[in-house]
Amino acid sequence: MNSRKVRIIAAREYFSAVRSKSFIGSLVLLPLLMSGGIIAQKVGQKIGDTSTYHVAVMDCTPGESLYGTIADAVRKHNDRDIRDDSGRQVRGKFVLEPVAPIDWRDSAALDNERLSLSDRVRGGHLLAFVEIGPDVLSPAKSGGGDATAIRYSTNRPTYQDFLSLLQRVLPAAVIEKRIANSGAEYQKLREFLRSPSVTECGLAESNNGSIKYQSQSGQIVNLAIPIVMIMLIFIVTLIGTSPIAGNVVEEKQLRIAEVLLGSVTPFELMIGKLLGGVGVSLTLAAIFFGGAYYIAHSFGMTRYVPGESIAWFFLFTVLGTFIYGSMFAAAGAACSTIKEVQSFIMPVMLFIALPMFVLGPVLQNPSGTLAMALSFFPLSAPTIMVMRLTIPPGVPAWQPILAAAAALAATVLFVWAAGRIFRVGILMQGKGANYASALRWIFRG
Amino acid sequence: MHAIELENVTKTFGAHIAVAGLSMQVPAGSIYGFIGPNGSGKTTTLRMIMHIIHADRGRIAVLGEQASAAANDRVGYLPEERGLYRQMKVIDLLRFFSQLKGHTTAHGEINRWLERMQLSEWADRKVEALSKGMSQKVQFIATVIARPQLLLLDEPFSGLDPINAELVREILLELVRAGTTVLFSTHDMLAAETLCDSIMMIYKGHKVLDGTLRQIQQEHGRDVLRVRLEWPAGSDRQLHDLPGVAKVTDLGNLQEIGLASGVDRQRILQLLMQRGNVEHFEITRPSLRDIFLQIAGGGES
Repeated sequence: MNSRKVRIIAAREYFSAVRSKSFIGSLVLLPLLMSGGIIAQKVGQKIGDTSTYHVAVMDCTPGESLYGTIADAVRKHNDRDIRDDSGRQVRGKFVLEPVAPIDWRDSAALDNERLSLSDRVRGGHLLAFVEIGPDVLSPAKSGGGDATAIRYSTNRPTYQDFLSLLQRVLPAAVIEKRIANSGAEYQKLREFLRSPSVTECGLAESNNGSIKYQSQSGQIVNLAIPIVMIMLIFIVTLIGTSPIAGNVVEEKQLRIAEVLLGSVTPFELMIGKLLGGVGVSLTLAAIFFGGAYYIAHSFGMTRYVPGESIAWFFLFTVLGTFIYGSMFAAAGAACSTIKEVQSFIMPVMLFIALPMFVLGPVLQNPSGTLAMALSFFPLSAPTIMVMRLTIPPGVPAWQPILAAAAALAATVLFVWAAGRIFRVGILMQGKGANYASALRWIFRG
Repeated sequence: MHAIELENVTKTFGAHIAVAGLSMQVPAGSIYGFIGPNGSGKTTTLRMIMHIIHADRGRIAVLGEQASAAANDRVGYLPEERGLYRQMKVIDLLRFFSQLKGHTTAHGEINRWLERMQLSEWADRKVEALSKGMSQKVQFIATVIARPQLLLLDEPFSGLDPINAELVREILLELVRAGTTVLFSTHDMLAAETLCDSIMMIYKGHKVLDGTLRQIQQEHGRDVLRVRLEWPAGSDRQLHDLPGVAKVTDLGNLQEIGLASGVDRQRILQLLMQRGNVEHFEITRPSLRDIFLQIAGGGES
């Protein structure tokens, strides 16, 4: 292999990628997308909700004893909770409409009332209606059923503010009234009923002789960093490698491939493309990782990212780029159109994206069987191992070494197989190859 | 010294035999024409010479090197199916191809080539802005800019207008005078006749012609007469019945008469004078086009 030619191909691929609009766009868009949730939330809060929501309440308890509790909560909500610091309304205002209680045993009347209220909800006059059963305060006596329940009916189930308000105030008020009705002294009982809190705390650590405790925010950071790391390595390797397939197809379609093969071998051409992809991935990794590290440094959080995990991050970025890139190069050579590439690469993409589907289980149990297996499976090793490295308490040193060795062996195998496919496919025109042809090219040439 | 030597080279694709036991020698410093109908194996042969595909059997030596692709940096290759990176600037593209051949081309040299091909003002423009003809010329420059010792050109004149075709022809002759060997495939028989020192024709994977134009004409051609007669009134204007005439082709103003071997041309002239007033009588050699059609059309092997 002629390393000079490989370098020239790699340099062309690299500079054409980093000067492309899509690369520059990804530099701006990706951080925006990653922080999109936070920004959207902030913007949503800024825009606010100035609506007024009408809710009908039919309290069938004796003396309509719970209506007042809801009315008090609504008054407090409207007075205190709907405005931001500048006094601007940012949350919806509630207006209660009392509905005269009806005889719960008259099921026809009850049905008619519910239909009438439902029609008003459907007509947009009401957000919801609430029914408080007549036996809510004495459930044992009635033996349960509708009469002991509080019903909330709406056609806007995603709007949760009023339901939350009810869930916050009604259960406690009901229990208080039940106890009061039984003759017990509620104030005394309330002391016994108060639940103890269970709080997440950091570990103690010795700092120049004095003992300090990790802050609770550290625990959250410990959860966030692995997620950020896996997202980063996933994104930078894909951005570095996925264009390779399209570029190879373009070289075939525009008949550039044979011009190049007059000067370089197919293998040199493919390795040059892979190295160009590695360069793109590392550039992105350096920019994003550098930016993320700078932000972490500004907030004094760099101690949550172990130094060796940074080195592993860049090493696995290189290995991941080679593994994924060789598959994209082979797919590009085997196919004749971008559409064919998309179908051809789909099963492989599922394997590449697999770690994203198992984030939860791996975070929950980073030393479990699933996490271990995926750490040594070549297609997921780069992403999962980088993630596990940053989940406290980390992994034994042999594991990233073994994972890297497995990924390296897979890299050699994948590049060899892709080179075989590339050699045959690069000059093929017309209909693209299927998996059987690709396998035949690998083993028989 | 031969720039290219092929010895009994065979290449098959599945059941299809693309090239069958082909042997050829291209003398160094010559222009060698490679003709044949579509699908006869020309491009496959050129790809094998470039080691882009490998022969199943036989020996290929290029500039004295037999090792795979060893001589490639000294060979300029212009494939038939050719394209360029559309997003690259013309000047960057030429530098890229020059570097791939291990040649560090100076800015001035690239500019000289662009000027020669009347593309100077396009140097800093992207390839996508060029017309098809301009792209063809840039491709030609990219092939020759690294000063190769051997040029393999697959249909170098296709897509060029007569002015640019003439320009490319001039440059090829200059390169040959400077010592470069040129092997090109073409369907343009006139270009092959006028430009090439030697010509080879391949048909269905087999070599059917090889030699100088004169040798080919002597070996494969029969004498051809081109005549124009002023026919007397009421004449049937037929020449087929003349003794020794194998074929008559009506060219409009002229009649082309193919003679069987050994026929006395003076005797034919006398017979023609008896038929009418002979205005034009020319003894010619068969053109390469005629020989090509005779072989490819008649299925000779």
